[in-house]
Amino acid sequence: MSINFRRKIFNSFKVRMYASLLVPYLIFFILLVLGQIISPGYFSLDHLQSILSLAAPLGLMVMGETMVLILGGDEIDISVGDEASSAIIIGALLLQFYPLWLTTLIILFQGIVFGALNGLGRRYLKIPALIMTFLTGRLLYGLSIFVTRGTPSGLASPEVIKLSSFPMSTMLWVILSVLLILVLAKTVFGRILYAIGDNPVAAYTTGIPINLVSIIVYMLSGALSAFSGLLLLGIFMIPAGYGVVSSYSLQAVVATILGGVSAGKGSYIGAIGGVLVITVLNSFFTIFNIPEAERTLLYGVTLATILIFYGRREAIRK
Amino acid sequence: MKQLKLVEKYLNLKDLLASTIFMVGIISLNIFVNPGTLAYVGSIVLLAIPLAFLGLAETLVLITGEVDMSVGAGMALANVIPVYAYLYQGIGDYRFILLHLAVGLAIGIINGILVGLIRVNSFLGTLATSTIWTGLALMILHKPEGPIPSWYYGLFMYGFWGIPIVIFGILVFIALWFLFRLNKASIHFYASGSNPRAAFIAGIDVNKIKLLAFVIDGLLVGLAALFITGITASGDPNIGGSYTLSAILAAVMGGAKFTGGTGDGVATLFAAVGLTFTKNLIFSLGIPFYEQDIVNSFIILVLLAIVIYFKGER
Repeated sequence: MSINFRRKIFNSFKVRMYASLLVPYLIFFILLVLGQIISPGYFSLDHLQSILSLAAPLGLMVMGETMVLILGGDEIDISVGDEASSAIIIGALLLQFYPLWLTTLIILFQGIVFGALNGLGRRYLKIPALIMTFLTGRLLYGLSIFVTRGTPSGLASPEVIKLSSFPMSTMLWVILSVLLILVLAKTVFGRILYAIGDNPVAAYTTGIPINLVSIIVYMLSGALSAFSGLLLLGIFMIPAGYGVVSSYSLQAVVATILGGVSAGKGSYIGAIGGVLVITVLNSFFTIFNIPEAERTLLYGVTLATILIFYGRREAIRK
Repeated sequence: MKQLKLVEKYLNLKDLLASTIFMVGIISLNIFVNPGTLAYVGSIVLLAIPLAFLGLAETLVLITGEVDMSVGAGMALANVIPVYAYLYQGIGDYRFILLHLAVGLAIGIINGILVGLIRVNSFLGTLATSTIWTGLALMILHKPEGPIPSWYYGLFMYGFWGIPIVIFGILVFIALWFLFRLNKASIHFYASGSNPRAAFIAGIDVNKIKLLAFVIDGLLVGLAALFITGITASGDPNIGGSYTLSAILAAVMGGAKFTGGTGDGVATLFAAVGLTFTKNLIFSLGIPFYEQDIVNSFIILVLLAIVIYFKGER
């Protein structure tokens, strides 16, 4: 058994793919066991249900983030949390006047418009994705403040609460997840995403409309995260403060990277594991009653740690 | 002819011209909208100094082909720790100034190790550290607190040996930039950014240069914090806010590219002054409070788009 042979096995694409899929789930189960030790009753069905219903909105945001990160280059969407926050605030406002279906449509439209803005700015103005999506986030923040005059009002209607609680939201998440996994693995659109991520120049020369595809991906990401805002409104009951929810952007990025998604690689299966890990971590923060400042710090440390393992660039001499 | 070439070697005339036009144009627009602005041009320029130092920090990092998303949060941390030390530990002498720079240095070293040595993607890595700095700043001071030592505040009120602190800030800025630019080592910075592989083959330790860029970046963030502490006369954990984006915008308007290899300090200074006057213009135009956020972000977006379009970075 030479070292060379072992390295060959480890480097073989499939082994590494399965390993990266496994890691988040492993962490998830370790955290669950840890939770059971710290506070008995953590493993109970009731609590798992509540974890699932809390995970669903983040799961939707991570769907968009997964597609964006697969595109590679420097594509990233850090406006997902802001999309969700403004959807919460504007959704609560709209629910006072309109039925749920119309509110949902308007919010989806808003998500698509700002997602398209992300894609257009990224592709045609050539602004780096991180800065473009950050700016879109600031625009959404400005919009929410402009619309509500600084004081969010309104309440979640009973329908929204039902939509965002255990069986409904989880079912929705599962259906969308299966759809996304199938789209990524089996359809032309999915293959195109991986192709662009793997080698954009080759994808371009084979005639793939890269600009159009990435704008569509950003639009999907916007729509999904705006819809997740509606679910969050049901969970929080009231339009929560803007800052609380916009931290979801970072959580979505952390979950996706932890799930083993990177340019041209990874799938949503791993990212679901990442979502579960982040949700359990969140519940730990709540159990230990860790204040907002320390939470922010811990997210930063988590992201930095994950990046040290997943986000390194190649050495120059290679 | 030879002299002109020498000037062109150390000053990027095209970027300098563009940012000068922008600055002069915006200042005259300000005075046109509100002639009263003339009376306090000096204090608006003082407001631009922290942004200018952050822009310079960003320029240095962008030259080496990386980006720093943590300058705003880093400045908030370097602003909060000394104020905390003064309020609760009684450190109010010259160490108050040193503490700003020490925090900046620490920030720079951590970022540099992360990006230069561990080779983490700088976009995401500094986004992570920016979250860490914000969390730390909020842990240390939960809300804006003051006052700061009176002698330090006096510097900003009455100047240093009778010289207004603005002039001092501008002189330090320009001196630092030419210290960098006239140094042979700056060639290594530009080379590492424009073609890392070629620089590596030519014997430049690219990763070490990136580490060095982030360390200097940290020190400049500390300097920016010194000015923001004096201007606001308090420690504010949320002061970072939009500074990161504005700093990147200033650096890009000053000639830096996201792909690395270009950038000019003096032009960045002018761009930072112009941007501060743009903000002032929004105030002068009397745009209502609740609309200011959206207008401000929109203006940054448009300016960024224009700059990137004309620089042909495609």
